[in-house]
Amino acid sequence: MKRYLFIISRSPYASSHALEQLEAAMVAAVFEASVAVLFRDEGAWNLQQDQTGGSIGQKTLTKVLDALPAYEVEELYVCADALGTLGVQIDPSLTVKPINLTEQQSLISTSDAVITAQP
Amino acid sequence: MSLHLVFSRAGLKACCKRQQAGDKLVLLGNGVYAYTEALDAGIQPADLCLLAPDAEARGISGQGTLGLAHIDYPTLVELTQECSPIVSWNE
Repeated sequence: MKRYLFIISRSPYASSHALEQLEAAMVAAVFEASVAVLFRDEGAWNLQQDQTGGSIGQKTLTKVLDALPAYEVEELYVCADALGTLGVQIDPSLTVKPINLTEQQSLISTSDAVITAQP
Repeated sequence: MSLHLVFSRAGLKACCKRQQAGDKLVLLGNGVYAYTEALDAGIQPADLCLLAPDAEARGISGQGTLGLAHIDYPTLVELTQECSPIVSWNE
């Protein structure tokens, strides 16, 4: 089984980067790939609790994240450094594993394909 | 062995933290400006190369980059065939 890693490096709402990456991850999982998602740098903001995208007429990103297990995207990782630096409060409904840079290195090198997309 | 395609200085910063020793790094587009920072970050000169047309276009094919490989597009294609996975760093 092919192992895909999607890296999300941008915060939500200002651009469609995160949403598009998550949609692509769900499609990959539907095609029976093993899919992991890594949130790094500003991308960690996607995990912040109490988001209400409706306030600016957008989808709440947390709802998309909540749906990931239904698509068998169950490996969610976040850069531990980014969590500490930004002060992100992870939404309690999410199961996300904070990992350090060494763990991120091996996550990347053990993937068959890494998708970063245009930010 | 992974191949890292670095398109910018910010991309280089994010890449350097997450690449492993022995991975290949190609600087392209505005990423070519960051060759000194790549060396300063401890990337081995043998693992670092610049996309020649992009470096030439930006006037940085001289002195400082002489120790580094300047590759053309066919060589870049060969690298994409040899390495896996391929990671773009384009913020």
